[in-house]
Amino acid sequence: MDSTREITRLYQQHGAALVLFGTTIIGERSMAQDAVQQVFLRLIETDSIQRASDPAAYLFASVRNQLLNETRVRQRSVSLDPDAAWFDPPERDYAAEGNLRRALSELIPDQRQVVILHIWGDLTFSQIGDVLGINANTAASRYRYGIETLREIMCSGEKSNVNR
Amino acid sequence: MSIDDPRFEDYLKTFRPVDPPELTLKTSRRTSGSLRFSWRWACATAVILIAAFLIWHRRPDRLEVTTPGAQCCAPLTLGGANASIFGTASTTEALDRMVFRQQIELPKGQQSALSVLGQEKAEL
Repeated sequence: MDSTREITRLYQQHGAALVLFGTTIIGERSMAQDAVQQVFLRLIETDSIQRASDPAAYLFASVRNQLLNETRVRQRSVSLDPDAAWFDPPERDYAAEGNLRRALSELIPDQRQVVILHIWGDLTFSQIGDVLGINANTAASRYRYGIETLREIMCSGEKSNVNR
Repeated sequence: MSIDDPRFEDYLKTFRPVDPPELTLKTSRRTSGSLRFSWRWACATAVILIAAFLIWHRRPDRLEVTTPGAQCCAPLTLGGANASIFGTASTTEALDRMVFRQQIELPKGQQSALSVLGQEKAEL
């Protein structure tokens, strides 16, 4: 019962970031939601969250594995859905949301995953290393390049919007 | 919007990922598992209790049947008399057994045919 409450709390805390992370892996938000739900249901059934030393990293890794298995099974290439909103933008600035989503879509997947895990997943580079199976320095390096690229894409997007 | 390096992360964090739908806890598997488990226990207990009740109430009958002396209380029949005569070494012994056998305790208000015949005065 306590573990179920703990899992529900984890879902409330990390669910949105997990779905966002999953969406950038699989491309479709609905599939990412299904994967996240399956991961949490499995946690409830198996009580495996009790054995996880770092529940947040464990959850992101579980969602990633679940989705990678699905893409392998379906043998499909992943293209990100351009229409589904990923964020609730500040002050309902949906143009900025679209700009951010487009910029994230243009990042290479390795950098995109690190940026999302660090900014919206609140994971440290060490935790990101555990999730992605890389070392913390590599994660930090990918983040640095990713955030720089993201900034450039977003600034160019802003300029093109202003010029219009 | 000017996006300079130190503030860029903070700016990105102002975008909150869209909340997912409520977690549909299919705890039914777990709950129904424990329910099923308790139902099994309840059924098993009920079966044991019923079996114990039946055994307790049938025990005297079974004891009567299995007690060796019980046969002496069975009513005397023609077949039983024949078996007794042919089963023993002498006819006298068989007759003695039949005559002096233990009487059956009949329910109140009933009496055996032998006792009725014994009370009649036969005119020879």
